[in-house]
Amino acid sequence: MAFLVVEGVRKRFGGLVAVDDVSFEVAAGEIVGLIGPNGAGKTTLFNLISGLYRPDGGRILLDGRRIDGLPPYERCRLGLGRTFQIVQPFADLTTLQNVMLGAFNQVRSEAQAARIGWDILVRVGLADKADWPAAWLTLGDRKRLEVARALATGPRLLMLDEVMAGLTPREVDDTLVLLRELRDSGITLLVIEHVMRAVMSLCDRVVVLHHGQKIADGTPVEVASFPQVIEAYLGEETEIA
Amino acid sequence: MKVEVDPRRRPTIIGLLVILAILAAAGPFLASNRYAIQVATLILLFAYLASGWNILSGYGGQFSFGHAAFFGLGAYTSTILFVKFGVSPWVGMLAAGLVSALLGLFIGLACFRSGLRGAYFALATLAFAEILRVIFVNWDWVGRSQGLLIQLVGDEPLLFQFTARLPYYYIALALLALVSGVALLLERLKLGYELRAIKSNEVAAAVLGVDVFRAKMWAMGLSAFFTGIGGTFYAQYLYYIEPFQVFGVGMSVDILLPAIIGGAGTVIGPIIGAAILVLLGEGTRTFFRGFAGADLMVFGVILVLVILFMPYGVMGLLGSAPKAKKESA
Repeated sequence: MAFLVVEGVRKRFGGLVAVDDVSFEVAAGEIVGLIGPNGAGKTTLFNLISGLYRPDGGRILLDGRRIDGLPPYERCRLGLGRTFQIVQPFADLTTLQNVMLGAFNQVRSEAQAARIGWDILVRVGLADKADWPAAWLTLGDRKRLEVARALATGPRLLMLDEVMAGLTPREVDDTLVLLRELRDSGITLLVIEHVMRAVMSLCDRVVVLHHGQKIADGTPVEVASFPQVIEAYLGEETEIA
Repeated sequence: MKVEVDPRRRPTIIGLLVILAILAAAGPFLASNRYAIQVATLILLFAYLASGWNILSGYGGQFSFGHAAFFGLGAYTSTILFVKFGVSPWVGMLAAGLVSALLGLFIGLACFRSGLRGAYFALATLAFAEILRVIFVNWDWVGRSQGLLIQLVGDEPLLFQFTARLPYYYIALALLALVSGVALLLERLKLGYELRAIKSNEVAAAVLGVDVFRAKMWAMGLSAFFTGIGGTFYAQYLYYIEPFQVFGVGMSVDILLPAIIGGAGTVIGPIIGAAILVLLGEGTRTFFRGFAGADLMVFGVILVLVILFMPYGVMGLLGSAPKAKKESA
């Protein structure tokens, strides 16, 4: 049984069908990319899986357990972590405290949370800014903090929403190394990413969304040759008289 | 290695202890002047009330504009228990806290379950305070708009009555020490982390494992509990309560302003804010004696200026509030 199962999931906003009967699976230990043009429904799908939206139809299972009716915090407790595309540190907390908030998902005492938080800050390279108010961090560091916070919850499935967007090539490389390490430590990854270099080198498999529908599912090399995928990215052929 | 979680913590603890020690030592000197001890007690009371408000609205970011509901209900609870049933106001004080906490949980259930936030939540809390005011203004058994008078029994410590003013000062100081200690503790607890996260971004907090509703309900209950106790103190201090005063919008504003001025979401901010506001109020009133209303106008202008130019309050200027040192980073 796959670790994450998304089965015929639908979400409609008024007249717009944002996610239309999407099904796919993620096996434990896999890194799966979720790609597609802007407005394809990728973030909506993340919101459905993490519990910010309730689907209008379909089922979502995590490790064999149905989660689509659970509130976000319960899904988090079951081992589902996610980041947001628009990074939003908690302004009243320091960098370390931001990560500790996530760690409180696993432990109760501040000292334990601080230990977990510190280890993760070292791992993502933010330890030297641990006592800064998180509001001081640069965009690159905020992206790292976003990952660190989600990691601190102790996820078994980590969903990353464009953590590499806006980063320098050097930072992208660092992030790729980090994500591979996470996979090697047993975390399953589902990533929305626009940086194609990252997608091609990182992902075992890619799911392509377009207008809310899944149009392709396969290895990065396979998917890149699908005509529907090329069409979705480059636009349909138009005849010019 | 030893990890320092928050560099602001040590200065906060030291600062709080110094302030409390100075206030404790100053009591006998202040008591030699009837006016001075009254002003000082007022500062302590509003520092205490603002600290209670701070739990829900400063740390948790759920801006209440109706804390008079808890304050007034607390004042009436202990007063009714004493006047009608002869229960000592010390017991009444605990009852006041609990009754107000129950009201807080009810308001929380009504507002947080339906997802009221920001200005809508603030207006809802205001509405609850107004509803209570209307109820008590029209309720015969509790004296309608005339309110309730607490009969004087002389110097009876067990009945929360003292002929001297100094005991009230020390009771208010003890209450302030208690609520400040709770705030310090809160900053270390999971709940305190959750509240500050909710203040910035509820959605991000929720996916990081925070049960947002539960955290808000705890904050509401604690905040209302302390505010209700403050109501009892007020009633015992003045021996008289009436609904327009204790449930009024003015009271809600007086409760929240010290925290805003001093620095919301900090332990010491409400204390500094209360000192500034009470002294400013007394100062303008004395200075503009004879020009009815002028003191309030000047007071209002000063408030507007403070809010415009010091968005994080006095603690922000001291570099103790978040974002305060952004430019120098």
